[in-house]
Amino acid sequence: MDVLWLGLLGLLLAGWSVLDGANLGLGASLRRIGRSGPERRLLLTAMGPFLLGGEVWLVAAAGILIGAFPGLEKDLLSAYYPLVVGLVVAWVLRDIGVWFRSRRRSKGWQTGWETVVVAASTVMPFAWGLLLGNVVQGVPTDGRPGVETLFGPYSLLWGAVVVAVFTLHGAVFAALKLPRGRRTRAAGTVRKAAAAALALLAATGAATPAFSVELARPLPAAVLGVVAVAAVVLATRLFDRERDGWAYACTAVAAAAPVLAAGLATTPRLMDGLAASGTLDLLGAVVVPLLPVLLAVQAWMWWTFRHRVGVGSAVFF
Amino acid sequence: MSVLDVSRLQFALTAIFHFLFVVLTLGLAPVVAFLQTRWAITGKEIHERLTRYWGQLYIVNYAMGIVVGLGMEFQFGLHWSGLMTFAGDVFGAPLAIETLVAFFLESTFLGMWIFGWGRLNRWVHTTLIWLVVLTAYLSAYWVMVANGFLQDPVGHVIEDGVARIDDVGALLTNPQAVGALLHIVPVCLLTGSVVMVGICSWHFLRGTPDVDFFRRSLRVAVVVGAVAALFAVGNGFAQFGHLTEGKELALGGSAVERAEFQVEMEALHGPGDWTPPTWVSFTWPLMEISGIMYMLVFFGLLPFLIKNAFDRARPAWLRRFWHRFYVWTLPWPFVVVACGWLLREVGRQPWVVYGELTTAEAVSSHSAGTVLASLVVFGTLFATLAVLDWWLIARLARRGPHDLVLGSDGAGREDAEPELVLAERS
Repeated sequence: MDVLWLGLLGLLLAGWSVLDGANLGLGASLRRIGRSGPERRLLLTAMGPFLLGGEVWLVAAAGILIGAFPGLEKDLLSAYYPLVVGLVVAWVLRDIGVWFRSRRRSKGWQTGWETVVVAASTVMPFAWGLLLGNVVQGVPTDGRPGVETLFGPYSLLWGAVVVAVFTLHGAVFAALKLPRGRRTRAAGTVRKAAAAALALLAATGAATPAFSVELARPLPAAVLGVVAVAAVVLATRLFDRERDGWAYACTAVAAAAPVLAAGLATTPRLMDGLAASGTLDLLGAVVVPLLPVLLAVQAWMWWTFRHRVGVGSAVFF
Repeated sequence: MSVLDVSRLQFALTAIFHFLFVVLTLGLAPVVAFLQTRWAITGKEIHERLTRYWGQLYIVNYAMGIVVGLGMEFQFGLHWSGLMTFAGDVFGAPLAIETLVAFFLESTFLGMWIFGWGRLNRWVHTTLIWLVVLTAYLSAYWVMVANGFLQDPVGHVIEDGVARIDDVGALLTNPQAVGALLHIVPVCLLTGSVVMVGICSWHFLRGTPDVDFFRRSLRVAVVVGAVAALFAVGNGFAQFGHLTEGKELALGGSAVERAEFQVEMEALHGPGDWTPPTWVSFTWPLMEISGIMYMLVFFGLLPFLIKNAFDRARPAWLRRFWHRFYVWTLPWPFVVVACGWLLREVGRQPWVVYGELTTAEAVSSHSAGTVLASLVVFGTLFATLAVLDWWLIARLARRGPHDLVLGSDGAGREDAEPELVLAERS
């Protein structure tokens, strides 16, 4: 039974990686895919409907962490304090950049906030990857790991992997949402990000034994690594054939793979922080019956905004 | 400064910044929903403009509420690991439920409402804003349940030095949670009304061409404000029914009372300073006076709705004086709600969970320098962004109901985006 709570946490984090990972990837390439001011606004219009509904998955995951895993939350946030602060600062700046960018006509204002969006959308997945890389190396029960672990080469590798897969995912998302004639703007980013993601995924696979990182359950993590590589390869093929929807599905798998791999590899440690049964009963009674509603509302959102942007799209960001 | 001081300061700054934006969000949301319902029924252009104008102020304010909320969510884990160890099993559950079944839905609905303009059926679209209101108030309830537990820990037992839920019903109906919520909700509505009256007055002072628009807005604001002020004050006083002894001292107590309480607590908990700081007692008279003042002001304003006396009354200099008064006192409710937060949270000191866990026991074992560094980063960031956000809201408010950015298809003057119009053809 208890493992279901970890499953829910995994679902929320994977959901965040897929949905907000696309927003972050698009944000990171905002000034590369969008070559002029209006083109960038077109990209922000494409991202718009999914921003609030995407980031909220991470808010909910943090909520479940507090409610169902209070012990783990305390350990994670104490141990990885600087990473969490960096992640939250980048998150705040990404959001505010998107909200503020089009509030004034001034060129300087818009360029300035675009730069903030690009930087913050790169730093946030990087901080997230660092966090995953650290979790894989073992969450300390007390205190903080040294800088050589926190920002060590192995952790940095995980950071780079997440940035690469999110960038790829975001570029495919841009191609999926831009008007048909403009989707090719994303092609260069898709190609480069895919190559980087493949190289980094392979490097992480090789580095895990090389850095003698002891995984509690190495097999599922390795399987997910292979699945991610296959998904990236398949996504580039599908993208070249203009099957953007299917390419998005493939890069979604690649985007969710890092967090799922880290979670599956370290399951026993994560389960240590589970709350008492009385708490889980209360949570279960309120949250579980409503889960289908949450998923249905998200599905409705996706259905409503399934089309490419165009005439009649509500412009706000 | 010790790590306790900087951790407390960071929490206070984050919570107060968050609160300032949330109060207005909760206050404006029902008004926007009401305006949109009228638009859905009548289909009149004026009702559409009312919805979009007040709606855009609402969502630009909302943006900042979200991002400070992100900082807020991580405060407990970052700095108060002792609280999570002791009470995480009780205190975490309502917070988890808040994020999952309230905020998750609210955020998704709000995104659909902002971008569903012109795409969704008008009744579906109107239902969405009501769902945003409902889930936003549900959020407030769950947050107050968590906070109420800290004020007066009910419904739990302590096993092996850790609190566990024992009585869910008591936790959910904690008078400290429900009583505070009944006070906070009308306070939010009152704050929203004060902001609306201030903005309308500014436009009347400037001789706005949109007289009809702002008269209609004013009517809603004054009626909502009068009802809200009544309940804000009434339910504020009603909370006296269940004050903890420490809180009574925070409201202002004589030196003798403090000494007696100190002796009583020392007998229970050993040596230490068990009384709340004296400086926080300035907040109570300020809240009391402001609440009563707003009640008088809003009830006094009701007759001025007759025959549009608010913007036509004579003599002109007196009318202009009052209009200026409403513009200049627009930020005042925010000062008062910050006082309310201080009274409630600082007034509980030295406890984080009243009578069970002190703030000093709850703080994480970081170095003061680490926490100070993040305090400087978050403090600078939130202060800068808050000022920018208020400036943007003021700009939108001053522009009046023209070139509305909410519900725009990108064809307006301010919004003109040739690429979007061309998008379909290319």
